[in-house]
Amino acid sequence: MTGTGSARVETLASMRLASSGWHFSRAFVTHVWVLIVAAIAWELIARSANLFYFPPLTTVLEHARQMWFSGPASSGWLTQAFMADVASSLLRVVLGLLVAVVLGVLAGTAIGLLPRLGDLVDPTLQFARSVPPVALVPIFMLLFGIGSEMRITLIAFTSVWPILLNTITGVRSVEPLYHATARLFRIGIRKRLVYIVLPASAPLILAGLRVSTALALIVMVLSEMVAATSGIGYRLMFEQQSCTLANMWACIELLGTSGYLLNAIVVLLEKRLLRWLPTPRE
Amino acid sequence: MAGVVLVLALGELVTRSGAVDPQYVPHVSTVLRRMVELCGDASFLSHTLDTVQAWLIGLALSVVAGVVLGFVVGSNRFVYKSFQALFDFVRPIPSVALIPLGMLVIGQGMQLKLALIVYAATWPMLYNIVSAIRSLDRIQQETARVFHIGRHARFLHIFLPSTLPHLATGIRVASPIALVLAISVEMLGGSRTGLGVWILDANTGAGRADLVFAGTAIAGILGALGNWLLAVAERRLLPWHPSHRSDSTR
Repeated sequence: MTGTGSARVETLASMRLASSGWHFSRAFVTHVWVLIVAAIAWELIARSANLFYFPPLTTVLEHARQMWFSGPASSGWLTQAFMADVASSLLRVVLGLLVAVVLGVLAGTAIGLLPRLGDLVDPTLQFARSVPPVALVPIFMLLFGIGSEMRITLIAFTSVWPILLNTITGVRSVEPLYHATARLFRIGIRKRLVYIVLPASAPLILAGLRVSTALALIVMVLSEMVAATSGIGYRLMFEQQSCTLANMWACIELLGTSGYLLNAIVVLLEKRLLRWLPTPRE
Repeated sequence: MAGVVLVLALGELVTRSGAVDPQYVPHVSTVLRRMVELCGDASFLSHTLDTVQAWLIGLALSVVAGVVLGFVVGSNRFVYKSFQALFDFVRPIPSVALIPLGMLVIGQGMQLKLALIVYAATWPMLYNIVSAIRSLDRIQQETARVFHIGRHARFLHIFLPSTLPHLATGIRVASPIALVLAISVEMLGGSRTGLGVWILDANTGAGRADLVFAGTAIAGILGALGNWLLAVAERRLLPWHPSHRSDSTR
């Protein structure tokens, strides 16, 4: 039981971290000048000092344009390299996250509703999520080869934990009176799941999804750096070996932008799905 | 513990049943035996020690960096708002994406591991310190000032008790991140020693699936051990905040 307790504490801790108001702030809009100043500073310092490892921002952006956004109009100005690097990477993240959400919510609901099952699997769960995802790459290569399946499975395996643990906490925190009332009115288990348990645990599940999304992106890059032939991670390693710093920085910035957009999408989803909550969450 | 035994027994059954190729998925009992053997293997231990060293030193440096930066950013509204915008932009960059760049700029070795750990593991502490400072109880502070309680006593009796739990949470979140970064750097060629290097060698060099599984399991045990130790330490060292998480969950 102690394991479950500490898992709960950590889940809540990560939640609080995610919801501490830093993720998608108004400050980003009102203080956009800070970004402009930073960008200009980067440009000027890089130009004047002529640093090999830190090419000027405009050079980086130009390289990014040539690499990914200089294709024919028929394909929306996207190049073949964009399809190979970016599209395949994002597809892996989305698929991996989808698997993680489905498995995490299903298993989490089951474990949350059946305390004895929870006690039984808890130590194993605690251990499985403590294994650093990168250390799993060799094992997943043994199990699933070096194709996309391996990467998607690894993304799913890593990002399932925050969703799973938050679902367990959410399901367990459903007001017992609701269950009792539902039982009194002979409301079936399926209806109870859909109309009571799921809505009540939705805020926690979605908070878990936000943590998972950040993890998924990390594992995506990581898995693509080993034995891959496509993806942003592969491109990053390739450019490193050819020492093309501007292309490398373009990859890093693209990853940052992707992470920002993915997070924004999850936050929007969260706002939309949780509109019915009485007290608006920040 | 019954659950662990059950899962292991189930794994043993599956691996013995012939459903999976033992060359890729070794028997659970074999992996357990290898794990015990590895605990007496000098080369394995020195690699592991290298990783643990990077993990601990990196984490310690991140705590210092997080606290110092947290104070600077948290104590001034203007700085806080400006940095928030900048951090919103920098934070989504996955830290592992900086490993190739780091390898070019810093080169292989311990310094690279430490640099990346500090970059990745400082965030949780930084956020938590800043939000702790921003959410300090104004009335408490003003009451203290009214009663002419000195700066020193205010720091000791108001500031520390209300920020330390947040820092502790930050450390708990940061610890696994630091371990992941250490092993990532090792696996992606950023170091010649370490647990990651050892596991990779067992896989691609020796082709020994049993050793890969055993090494990975030990990495998992290290991570779990770290989580557990920090949880215990927090409960022991910060007893005045008995419900420090459950009351702030809305």
